[in-house]
Amino acid sequence: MKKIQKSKSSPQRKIIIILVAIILVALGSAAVYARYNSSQDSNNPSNDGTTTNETNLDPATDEQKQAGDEQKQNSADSETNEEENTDTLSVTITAFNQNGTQVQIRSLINEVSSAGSCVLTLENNKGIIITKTSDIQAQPSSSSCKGFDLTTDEVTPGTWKATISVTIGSQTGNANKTLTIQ
Amino acid sequence: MHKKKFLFFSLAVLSMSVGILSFVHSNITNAASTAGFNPGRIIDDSVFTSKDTMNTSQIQTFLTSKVASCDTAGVLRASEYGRSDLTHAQYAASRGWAAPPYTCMKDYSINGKSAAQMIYETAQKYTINPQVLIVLLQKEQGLITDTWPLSTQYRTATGYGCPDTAPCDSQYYGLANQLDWAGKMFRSIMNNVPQNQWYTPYVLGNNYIQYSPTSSCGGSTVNIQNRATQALYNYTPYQPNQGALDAGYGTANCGAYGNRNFYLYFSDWFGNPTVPPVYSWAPTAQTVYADNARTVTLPYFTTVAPGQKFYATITAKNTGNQVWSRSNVNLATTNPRDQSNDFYNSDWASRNRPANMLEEQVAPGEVGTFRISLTAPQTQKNYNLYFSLVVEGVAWMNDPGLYLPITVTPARQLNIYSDSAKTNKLNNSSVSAYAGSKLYATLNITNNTSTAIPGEVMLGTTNPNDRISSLVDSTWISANRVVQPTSNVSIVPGATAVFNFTIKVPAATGAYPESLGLVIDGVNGRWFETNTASFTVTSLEKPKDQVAASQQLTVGDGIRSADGRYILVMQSDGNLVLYSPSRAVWASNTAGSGANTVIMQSDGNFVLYSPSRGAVWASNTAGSGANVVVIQSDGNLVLYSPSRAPWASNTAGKL
Repeated sequence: MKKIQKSKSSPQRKIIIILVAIILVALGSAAVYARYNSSQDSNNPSNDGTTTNETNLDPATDEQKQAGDEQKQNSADSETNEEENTDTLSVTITAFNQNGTQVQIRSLINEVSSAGSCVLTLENNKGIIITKTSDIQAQPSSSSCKGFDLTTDEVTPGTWKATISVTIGSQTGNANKTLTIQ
Repeated sequence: MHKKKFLFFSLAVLSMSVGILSFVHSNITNAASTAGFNPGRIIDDSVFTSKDTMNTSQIQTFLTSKVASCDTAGVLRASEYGRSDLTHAQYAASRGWAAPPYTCMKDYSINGKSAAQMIYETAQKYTINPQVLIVLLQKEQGLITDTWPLSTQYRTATGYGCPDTAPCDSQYYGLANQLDWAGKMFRSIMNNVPQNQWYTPYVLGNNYIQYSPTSSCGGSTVNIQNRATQALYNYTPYQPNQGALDAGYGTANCGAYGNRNFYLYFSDWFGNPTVPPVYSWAPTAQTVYADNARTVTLPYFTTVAPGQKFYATITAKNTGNQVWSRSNVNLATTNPRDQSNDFYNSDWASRNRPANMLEEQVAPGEVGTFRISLTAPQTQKNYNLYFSLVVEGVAWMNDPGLYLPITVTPARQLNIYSDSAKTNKLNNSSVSAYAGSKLYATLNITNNTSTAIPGEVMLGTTNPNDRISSLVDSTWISANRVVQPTSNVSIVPGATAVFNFTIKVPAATGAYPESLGLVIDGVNGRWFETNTASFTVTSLEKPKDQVAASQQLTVGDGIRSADGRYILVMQSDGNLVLYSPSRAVWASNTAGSGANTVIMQSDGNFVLYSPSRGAVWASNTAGSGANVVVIQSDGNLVLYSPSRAPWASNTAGKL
């Protein structure tokens, strides 16, 4: 009677399995090491308080490219569009801050221009009217009035209605805001 | 065997899986999200101005890494715009865009200068982080990731002079020009120089910022915390709404993406644009003033009178990375922290909080001002008042050891001495001396007013003014003008003038009240102060046989024993000699020393003084309680205390 023997792998097969396993272990270890190293680098603050994040030299991701493509399209299209000729400027009073006796009022004009003028009118409920004028500061994609900085000697505590009127060429616009001076 | 192989293989697969999962996890966590986006602090000033984060070579490497290959000829399909049927060049033509060549930024140059070099030079010129400029080029034109950028993208590369609703302004065209204008504007805003102020739509502090150029989209109040964020809003004067933030790099209704994309690109490519908060300061000036208007300065080592109110201003440079707010940054007492300060007055918020900040906000690199009023305590001594800055409820800032050295002393200090060397000090307000003797006085006057006193000022008699004094000495200017200060320079506020003068005790016994003030004679003559120093001199009859406590004998003076046989004489040769009827029986042996005064001091010591050499002889009985020296009829010169005789010449019976 023939004895049934357990099947045995050939030596070559055994070597291949061992080699594949070693490669897999090595790859896994390398991946873990790379991950560990990366997190160490990105969380290392320097002495001067700035971070020392490694510069990311990976290719741009799809979403980064897509956001860039959209910006490109908007920009290129706006270059080919005819300029809109409206008579009205969009003006916003963006900031009103009081720093002790100093009062700052700032504005945003939806047009790029360094020509033109701004007029600030302040009126309180006693009928006192204060008027200030300024030039215009061109910004990268907008403009703002070159002002206004006042003191509480000029604008006494109380409620004031502020109006900024802007004129650039034939275009005009204005904005209103109620301010409380302390 | 099979079992072993299975286990081994499983281990390998498990190891590989852990590695793969680590990478996947790594990629997920490294992808930027808008979770950390703060519309009031998009990037910190310190990061924004780190000009040396990259050199030209590193910038070039970065630009190269972001585009695998370029479609310079525009022959690849425009699939990114959903037009795979057209090449890039055809798609550009269909929209009226520029024709090829399309040069990637990594390859772009003008007159041999690469884009990387232009970015680096702009960063150095204006001290701006080149990473900020790289991100600016991407968020404005997508130039960093673009594989076929148009020439028009370069000419308006940073979007400078490009309103959202109109074509760009040609005066700003060109990559180098665009970078330069961006750098110039950023630097102007960071510097915030009042004389050359770049007016921006927003200021540090609260601002109403819209979500898009369309006002109906709304907006909200944003507290802009630093200049770098203020500068970014100059490029894109809108903040992203929640929809834009939730969309990552995507779009949303009423969305504005410039500042969001700046944050995302910067985070993804260079790390967090904000750093841990650091509050720190460095003193830039400390000045003490006599007046609240801060027009009259006092010396660094300040002398004030008890109860005197005076003022100080301390300026502090913000050397941290956080904006200081007036609402919570205060000057505080230190050494130890929060100590209750003796110079407190009702102008202080509390005994350990002398002043809050004058400015509403102070950005990193700027200087804050703290104005203190102080009231000198009654205790006269030297004080060092230590101060530092505290962010209430957050942290104490570093303590640079700043202090104000203050000496509290009477502003008018009179000292009267029995000897010209001014070693034997008498009671200042009431002194007694033998008729015809001299007393020596020093009056220190500290100018605790806010106006300077001219150097020609002098002491004059007051009560009434210009009264003829009974204490006139030959050294006086006149009978009602005593002396000028030792230095006849103007006595500025806080300075001390010294008046030295001699008093001649009247020959007639009795009490002589005296009162002196500060006066200038001449056409501009006036009294600065009356009754500056008041005191009484009592003229005593010279005793025949003794010198009492605090009394003295000067050259030519002498005392004689009750029986008239013995005499003690202060000789002009500097020797103090005891004579019997026939000879000198005792002497101090100080002839030639220049001694001219012997004093029975209040400390019990009987001392012979020379104006030039000080004490040349003494009984060495200080502390003995001796209060009188007597020349006895037995010829003995004896020093007595109420209970004993601590010293004697031992000349009894010598004839």
